[in-house]
Amino acid sequence: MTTQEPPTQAGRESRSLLYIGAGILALLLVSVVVVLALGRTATSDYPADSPEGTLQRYFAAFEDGDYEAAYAYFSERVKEQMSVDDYRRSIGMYQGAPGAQRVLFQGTSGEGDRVRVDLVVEYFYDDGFGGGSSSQPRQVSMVREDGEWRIDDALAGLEPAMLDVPF
Amino acid sequence: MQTARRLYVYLLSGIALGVLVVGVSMLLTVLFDALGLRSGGDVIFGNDDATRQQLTLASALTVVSLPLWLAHWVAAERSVAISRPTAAVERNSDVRGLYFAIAMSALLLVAGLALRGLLETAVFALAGGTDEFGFRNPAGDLALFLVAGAAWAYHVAIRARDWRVGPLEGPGAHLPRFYLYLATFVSLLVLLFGLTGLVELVGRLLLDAPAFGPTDTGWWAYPLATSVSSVVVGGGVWLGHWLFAQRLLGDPGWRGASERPARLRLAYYLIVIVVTAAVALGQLSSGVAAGLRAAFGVSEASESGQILGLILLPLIGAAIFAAAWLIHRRWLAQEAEAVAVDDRVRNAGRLQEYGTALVGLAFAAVGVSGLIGVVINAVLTGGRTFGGGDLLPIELAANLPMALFGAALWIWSWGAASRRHALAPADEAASTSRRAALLIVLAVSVLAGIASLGVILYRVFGAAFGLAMQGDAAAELSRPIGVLVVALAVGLYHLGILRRDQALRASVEPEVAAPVGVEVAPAVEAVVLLRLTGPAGVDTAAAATALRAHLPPGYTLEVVEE
Repeated sequence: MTTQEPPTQAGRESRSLLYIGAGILALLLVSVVVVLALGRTATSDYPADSPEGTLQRYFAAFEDGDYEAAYAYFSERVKEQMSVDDYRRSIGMYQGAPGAQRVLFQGTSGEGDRVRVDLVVEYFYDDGFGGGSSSQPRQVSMVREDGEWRIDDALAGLEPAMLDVPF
Repeated sequence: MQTARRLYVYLLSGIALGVLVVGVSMLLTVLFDALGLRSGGDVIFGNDDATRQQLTLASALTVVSLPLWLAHWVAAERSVAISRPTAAVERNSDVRGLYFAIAMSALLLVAGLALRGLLETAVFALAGGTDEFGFRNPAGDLALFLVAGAAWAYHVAIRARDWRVGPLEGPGAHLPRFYLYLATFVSLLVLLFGLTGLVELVGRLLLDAPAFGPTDTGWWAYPLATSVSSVVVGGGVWLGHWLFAQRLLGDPGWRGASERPARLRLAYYLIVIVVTAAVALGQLSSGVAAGLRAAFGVSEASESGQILGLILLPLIGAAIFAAAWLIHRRWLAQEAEAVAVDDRVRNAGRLQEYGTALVGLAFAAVGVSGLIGVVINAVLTGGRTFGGGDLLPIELAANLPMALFGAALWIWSWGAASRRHALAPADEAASTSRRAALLIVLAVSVLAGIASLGVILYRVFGAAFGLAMQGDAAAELSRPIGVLVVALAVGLYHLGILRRDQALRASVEPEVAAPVGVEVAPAVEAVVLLRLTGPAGVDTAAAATALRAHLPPGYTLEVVEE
């Protein structure tokens, strides 16, 4: 009769639960180490005189809230279209720099003084049950002016700037 | 034939009652408005015509619905008059039971919402809040509360009279019981969320962490009004219904005998235990996640008061729901001991253990799949991070506490269930609670696994067929891969247990049913045919119903021939 083996059965069940618990704890530790080691600090640094490097420095200034410095990375054409006040207003419409996002580099296409940088913006949404993430592609046009790369799209962060909204 | 008639009578009664409640409450609203019980906002458009229109509509609704309701309700009531030979059958009919369950639920809901709105307006005004846009309607709330409340009280009185006349059983008793426990459950949640809101408000005031930004003065008036009104209404309705249910349980007569073995009462306990445990775990995870975000330097708040609020306030909410969870666990265990019905103690224990284990497993599975996804994402995309490094630590902080606390709760509950299983494997393997829990886990695992596999294959086939896919493949697939891994692990683990249980049941059943070499006749129910006679013209159906109420557990009595 199987009912005569409770200690063995109980011991086996307890051991398996112990292993599962230990496995989950190990996963917790690994995930903390991996995410803090790779997820944050492994940001690739591109040369400042490259289109990618210019865009990266623009985005860093935007994230730091230094909108004057970020605005300086736009091309003359964009600056004629969008004043620094327009830029600030556009950012305000997007509620400032979003915290829970990450930008991944996909590639650069084009030659000469005009190139396109392809990015993917990954967003996190907290639904109270672990949350989740979604991603959106972004293409940013870059142009070389006086030997320096400049952003040739009117942006608020990496979103399209809202210039025609009457406020 | 009788069922069709009942359906017609109670359906028309219900519809007419609904229109009558609307009509009379509109009439009273106009009256209260005229008496000056108007909301804070001034009338900016419309004039006396609007009032006259409202009065016209209200009068028309009332005049049409009142005779309609009276005619049908009188017919319904006449059919249960004691002098009628079929009164007992009518009182026990499933249609009448359904009518009372729906009518009392709807009327209580409307009256409760109206009272909550009324109290909210009063507390909001006392706290110095101003209703600039005229959203509040105290006259309408008061009118609706009075009319719906009166109609609810009338139905309660009629139902109580039905009970006093004689035993109720079958759907005629179950359906109104469903109302009782539904109202108790919903009002308990309203009370608990109200209490949580109230404690959170006090915490925010103490920590100087306003809910709507630091410059917003008087921000607390609205949360105070909603929380206080929820506590008062939810608490009042819950207390009234719970005390009534307790009184039923202790009733020495047929009402107690009918209530004590009721499975609906067990189901109520199970749902309360599962929901309160889930909310407590969710709040606990939320508070710890906020602490982890602060520790990782990615908190959405910058001021220490705000950060402390994000951490502590959910923990207080968790404590309130955890207290409700533990109290109901204790009540269920105590009640199972006190009510000597069948296998109630063991069933109560199983319901607690498996219900709580499912909650823990759900949290653990979501958390662990999220962690696996975050790790895959970090490993595969870390080198391509162009900017914005906050996302993965935030995801980590959201999933880590869920995995940790969910796993702890699951191991604790499943461990208790495993010990029970080890003591009596065959009994436990045959229990409905255990089988239901295992099948639920298996079903959810299969569905989650198929859904995540579908997402992964869509991406893989898209790449194979040269389809331009949006987003980053590694980032997009990391979470579905995590879900697939967890679904597989959880599904296989529980499938193994399910198969072992099946094997155990199969190995035990022959020993009981047919010892080797002995031919045993299949178990047959003992049947005795009785003849019931009475004076001419008496209601034999009612007498049979009364007899059924006094049968011991396991016995049935059916009318073979009339």
